[in-house]
Amino acid sequence: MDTLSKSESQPFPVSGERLAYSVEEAAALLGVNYFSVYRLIQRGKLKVCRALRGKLLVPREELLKLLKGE
Amino acid sequence: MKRSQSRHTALEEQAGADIRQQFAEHFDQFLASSAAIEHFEKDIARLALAVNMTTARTSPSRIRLQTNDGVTWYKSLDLMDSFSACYRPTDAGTEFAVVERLPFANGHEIVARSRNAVDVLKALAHGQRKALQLWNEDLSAHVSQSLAERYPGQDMSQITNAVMRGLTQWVSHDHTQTQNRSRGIRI
Repeated sequence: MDTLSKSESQPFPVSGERLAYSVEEAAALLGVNYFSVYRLIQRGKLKVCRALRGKLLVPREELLKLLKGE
Repeated sequence: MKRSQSRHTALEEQAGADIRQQFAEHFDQFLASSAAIEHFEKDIARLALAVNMTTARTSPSRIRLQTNDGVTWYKSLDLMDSFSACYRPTDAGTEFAVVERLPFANGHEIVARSRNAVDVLKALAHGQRKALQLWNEDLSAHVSQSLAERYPGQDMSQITNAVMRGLTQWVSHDHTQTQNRSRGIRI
């Protein structure tokens, strides 16, 4: 699983947008089921952060990268 | 008697019921995905045989698809979810792949490739298991946080563990412990 280093993550939100989403929210945004998102994370296609208690957070920037095919 | 073996208090029982209700959809999806993987794993030999048999097809109506790396494959079989088994003839013999089609992505992405059909199917199953483990850990963190918010100051780790144990009993120990399935996620 790939996680973001501190230097890679944006320090501040841009124009009030949320910085990150839960896996459930990311799945809804991508139009796929939860498991598809976990598979993307597991394959290193989607970088994530660990939040409180180890919850996974998907940075908005990473979702956009995935959608752009970067 | 150890604490982990003791009966739960009324508060813990209530907390467990609350969590089961709150996360019902998540638990259902998790268990359905677990069952699909388990079924797939048991079916690998049959699927590999079917994939191998499709390589003998010469019909011009064979479905061709291109993966993101520009390689063209023939579609062999649809597998679970958005995965398909594919093959392509090469100078060195037939090559097999499992590819995934994601609704937001352009084209198909290779998940595994090998000269052996069994190997690519096993690689898919292995990746699915690892993704399931990731899901389990994330779900556990959400359950733990929810309990902490609902019952501040209470140690609800027993409930988190009991709920998650119900899920993992037949997930993380390969598919040999299928007898635990009937226990579901009750605590």
